[in-house]
Amino acid sequence: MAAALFVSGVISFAWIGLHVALMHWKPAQSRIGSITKGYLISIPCLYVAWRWLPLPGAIVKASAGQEPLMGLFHAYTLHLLLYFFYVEGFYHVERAVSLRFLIEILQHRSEHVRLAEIMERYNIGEMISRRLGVLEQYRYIEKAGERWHLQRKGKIFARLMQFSSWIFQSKGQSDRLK
Amino acid sequence: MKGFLISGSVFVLYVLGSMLFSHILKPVRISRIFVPGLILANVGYFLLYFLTPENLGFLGPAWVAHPVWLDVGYGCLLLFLNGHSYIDFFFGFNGGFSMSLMLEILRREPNGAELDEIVNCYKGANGFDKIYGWRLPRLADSGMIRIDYTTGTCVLTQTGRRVAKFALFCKRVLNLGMGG
Repeated sequence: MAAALFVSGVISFAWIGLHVALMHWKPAQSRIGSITKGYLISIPCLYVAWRWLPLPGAIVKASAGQEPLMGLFHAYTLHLLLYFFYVEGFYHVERAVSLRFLIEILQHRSEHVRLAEIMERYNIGEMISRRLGVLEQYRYIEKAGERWHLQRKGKIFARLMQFSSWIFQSKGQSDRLK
Repeated sequence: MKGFLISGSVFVLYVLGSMLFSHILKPVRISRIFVPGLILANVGYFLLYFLTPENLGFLGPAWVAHPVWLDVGYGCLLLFLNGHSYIDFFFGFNGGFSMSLMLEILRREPNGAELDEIVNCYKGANGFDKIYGWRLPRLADSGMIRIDYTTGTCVLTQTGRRVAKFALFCKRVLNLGMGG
């Protein structure tokens, strides 16, 4: 198990590190697509590393006498969960409106910032236009004339959200304040 | 394998429990269910791990992972990663900005919606901005900013400054623009 977790960690950090480096050298148009590609490419690499990578003696000793398949299973489980963790972290850093707001205040020339100024610079219209553009790029929505429509994928997600909101009895951002 | 199995079971219970309690209690802030629930799930995981037999009564000797601290730690890490994915799924799916935009368009189908109509959904009855109207008090409650409503200004707290600097650092590492 120790060997499997070690290999899984090494391969995960290797492909994530490579992805970060590539984002500087040649940024992909679809960042999430490129993360998934990186993960898929690393799947066979994990097996190769698990089978043939020379490991420190202490790790080999700690894994002795255990079912090899169990090790491989744990390696792939951790590898998958670290991929999810990276995607979630990436999305949060890229998209979070609250983080953007905090950064806007941080970068402001004076410490006390007028709310109206921030709201004007990072206004709701711009926020929505930018996000609609992202949703169009990923084919969740499309524009016909001046009107936005949901594509099939967007309809499925919106309906799933309705169902999930019912389960948790939660409200979407546009429904929270009246 | 014991750490994996107990961690997985505790996670399933956590998901079902948080759904049930959210549905019944309808909390204004869902984090009041998620956070204590996750702490309870961790306590439950450790209790179950140390109170059950090493092989759980059915695992063969080759399926019992050693050393124990590694198995316990691995199960705990899985619980954290699964819990993170679940909470992130909730905030991305139920509370996400993109999802709320798509929901507004869905409500207007088959005619669809113009940009102005969508923007108006985020404005309150007296014209205030719902995105900020909801977010600013939350940021103040969570200790990120201090708002002075008399002057209409806000200032980052020490925590808020740290979070903003860390977010900016992450954006630079990932080569991202301002986003949001």
